[in-house]
Amino acid sequence: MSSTNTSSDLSSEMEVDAFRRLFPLRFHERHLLESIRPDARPLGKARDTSLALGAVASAHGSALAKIGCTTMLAAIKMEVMTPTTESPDEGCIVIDFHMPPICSPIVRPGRPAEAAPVVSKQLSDTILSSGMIDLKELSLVSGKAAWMAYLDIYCLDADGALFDAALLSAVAAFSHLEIPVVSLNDDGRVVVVSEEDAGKLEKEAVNKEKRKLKLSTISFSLTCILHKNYILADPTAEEESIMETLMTVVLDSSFQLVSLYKPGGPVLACTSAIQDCVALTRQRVKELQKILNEAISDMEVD
Amino acid sequence: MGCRWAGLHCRGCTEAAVCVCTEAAQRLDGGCAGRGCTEVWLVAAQAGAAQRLRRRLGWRLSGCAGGCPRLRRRLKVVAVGFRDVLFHKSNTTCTDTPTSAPQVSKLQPPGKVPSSAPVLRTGAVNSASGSAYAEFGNTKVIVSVFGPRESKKAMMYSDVGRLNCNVSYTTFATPVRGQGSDSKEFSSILHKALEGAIILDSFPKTTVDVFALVLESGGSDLPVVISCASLALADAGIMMYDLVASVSVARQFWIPEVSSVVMVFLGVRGDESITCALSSCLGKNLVIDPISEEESYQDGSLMITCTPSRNEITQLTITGEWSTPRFMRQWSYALMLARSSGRS
Repeated sequence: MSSTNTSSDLSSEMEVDAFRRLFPLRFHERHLLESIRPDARPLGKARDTSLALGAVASAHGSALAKIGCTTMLAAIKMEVMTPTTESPDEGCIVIDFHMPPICSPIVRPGRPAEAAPVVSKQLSDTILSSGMIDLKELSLVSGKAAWMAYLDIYCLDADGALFDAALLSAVAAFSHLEIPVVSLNDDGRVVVVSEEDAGKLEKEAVNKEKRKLKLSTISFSLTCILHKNYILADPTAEEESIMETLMTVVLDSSFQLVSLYKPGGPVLACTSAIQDCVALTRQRVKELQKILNEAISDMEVD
Repeated sequence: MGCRWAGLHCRGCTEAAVCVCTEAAQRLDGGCAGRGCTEVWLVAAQAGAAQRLRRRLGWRLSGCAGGCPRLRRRLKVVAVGFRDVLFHKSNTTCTDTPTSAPQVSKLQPPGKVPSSAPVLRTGAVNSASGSAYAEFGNTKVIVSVFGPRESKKAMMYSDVGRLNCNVSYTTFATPVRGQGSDSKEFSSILHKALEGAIILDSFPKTTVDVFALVLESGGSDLPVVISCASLALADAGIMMYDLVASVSVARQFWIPEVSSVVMVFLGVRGDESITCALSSCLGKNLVIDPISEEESYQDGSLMITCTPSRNEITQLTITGEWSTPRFMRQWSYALMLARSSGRS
């Protein structure tokens, strides 16, 4: 009791920054009482999102997604491989999420971040199970050659909501992907035709021109924080570190639920909280669809 | 416009190319059998600029009759191009533009032509104390600086600050996936390049971490990383004696249909004074700030890191045999001064 009294006395004398560092939870709760957050956002609003396709010229498909300060760069490189015997006419997608040391003060070169393998597994489960990509489209010659797509996502700046930004950049990179032209070389193997030789191709190409991958349904996600009876959409890193209960909802473009992920946490989620989160995600999916379509049409204009 | 030398025609020149013979060139290259018939190519953006420069220096325009027999034997067409470095007098920015020569189009696949102006920006990463993003052609690098922060508990007490550097590549940085294998030595090279410029006494007992990530590697990665790292350190407020800038030069055995000697004209800060440096090697060509294909054809290279205002070199790395090292240094040095004055 006395400690709270002294802290409330101190708080009237202290500067805002010092109070934010020393009593972070009280700082945020005082904002939540007014239904606002320290960066002046209402509780259910996500940060400004932007998307740029084709950021990396050396990859076959790439995208840079920015949600507030969280920045993710996704790039896809395609290689030819022989498919497995169980599924001879299906290709393969390998998804990997990296958090290099530049993104956050917690990550050190020798010691990878704790969040990296968690987000990596979450992403690969979501993308592969959502049915966004039909693996049969990645097949070249049935039983002999198929595409292996390596999707690498690098976090360039970690400021909360890593999964959302990573999924957005992955989806955008797949929208931007152009499958390169291949041909059979003399050994009977399928090789990628490099662009310089494309003009003087004597051998017949297996696929005549670069084509885009057909995405059946695109998934988007929103991460929310549950704290007491507040629901905060799209948390920053500071909010995530103080209020630890996160919930991620992934919906596809027809607003069907693809994945719901709530990894423990001190706050228990009741049905109404889950429904509220899904409603917030639905709004967010509409915004993200618009942003993605604008980014794709900007690319095509170029 | 063309150079008639041993029957070669330079089909691929830019708008203004001048072939001259000079006495000076003959002295330096030491041993051309003809009467100083070493060609010098002046490459400029517009025909007007070349004319002005030519007049200013009073070069004589003459063809090399007969050509140099030594070189004629060694002529071979290799698909290698080079990039011009243009310095504009009016503003102190430096731009790298690929020449309009067809050689260059062989190297740059369609759709991958690099943007012409280099980009250097601070504040790229919000979570770091200081950060910078650099883009030179196809080479894109992000550097973050954290610190000064507490040293690891295992480290001993030290009166001066510590610098910890790490350079890593993304898996998609190189055309072949996962090939950034030079990154271990790059970390120590970066450390050596920066430690001369940082005032380590200003942060005793603590460590400053410099982390670099190469997003896309288009050649000359290390000089770009070093320059970007010094900018990130400045953004973080770490005390330094000066910014460091770095440039690399690759030496190639020849250049097709182009002469043996390359001359670069630099304009420094809008004065009329022009610093020029000549390379001496006969039959060899020097390429400044090479792209990755040019680097693959190199048989020697030089990388120099210096602090422009103090005229000090923090690091010099030379590979291959160089006959007149003084020369190379002078040239790269002058180049780098101009570049860094353009950058910072």
